[in-house]
Amino acid sequence: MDDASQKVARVRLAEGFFKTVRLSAKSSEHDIRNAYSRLYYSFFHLGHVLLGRYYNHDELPKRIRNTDAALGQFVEALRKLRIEADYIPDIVSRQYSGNVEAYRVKAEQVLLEAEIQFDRMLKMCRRKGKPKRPK
Amino acid sequence: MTTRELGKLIVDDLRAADILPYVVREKQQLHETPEGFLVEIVLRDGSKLEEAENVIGKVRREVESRGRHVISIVRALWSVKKVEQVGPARGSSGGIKCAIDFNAILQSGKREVVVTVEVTQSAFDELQGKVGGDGHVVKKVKDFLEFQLSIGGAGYWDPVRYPQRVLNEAAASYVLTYGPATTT
Repeated sequence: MDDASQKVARVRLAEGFFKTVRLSAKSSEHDIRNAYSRLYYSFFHLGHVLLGRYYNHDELPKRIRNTDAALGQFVEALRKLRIEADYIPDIVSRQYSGNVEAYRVKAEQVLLEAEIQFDRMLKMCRRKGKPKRPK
Repeated sequence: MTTRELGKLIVDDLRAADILPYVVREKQQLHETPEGFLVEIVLRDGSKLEEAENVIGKVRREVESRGRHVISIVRALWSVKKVEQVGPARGSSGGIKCAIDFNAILQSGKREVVVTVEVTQSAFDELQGKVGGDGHVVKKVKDFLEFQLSIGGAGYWDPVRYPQRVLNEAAASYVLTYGPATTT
């Protein structure tokens, strides 16, 4: 379990990963693969802050789903996209008819959804971290 | 456990559950990764999705009991049956958004779903400017849906769980350049 300063550092790491995910019309296949990887790990780290402890890649989306179903499903989907990006060398020809442009358009749509979900998750973390008012 | 053994286990369990005739075998994927087996099952009938998910869930638990992980994707092939323009899009509070809604009926075997595509005003203007009147925009919305449905693997779109899509400028440029993609 992280102590308070580690939590702050982890949120900073998550935000740092998230803010550096940028896609443009010039993004290459490898830029997109890197984007999926950084995007997933930004949620991975923030997920640990939200849940208050470390879980493995398999367990984390399930635990987040218990807190927020839509968020958990999104993290699960992101994990699968990251696994494809990291380990399947011919993913663009297999799943996008060899069209990098299609891979990029899909990634941009994921990024739009990620912006909404990341913001929600950050707010949930902040709410959780707030000291409770004395009765 | 090897990929071959896992492949056999999946086929045997799908056959036992009477799902195998609905599986598009040539689209099935099975990859071994350091994080576990990545499995993709593609069905030709969306009405069998839940049953197939149950079978793969059982396989996952069995493999996990042997100390390995299964990361699964179960999806169906969908086609676009009908698209029509509805009118201005509305936000959750009921206010009019700067976008136009289109409704579409998608079909997969015995299952149909109604989905909504929100076309942003800038995308709508771009489509209308390039292809002409509203009827042509409907065709481009159909192309967009077919593109979304053509993506396989982890990037697939599940229209049952997520019946809303946004067609923005980037997507409009894509469909204007490439049209509908070939199904994967």
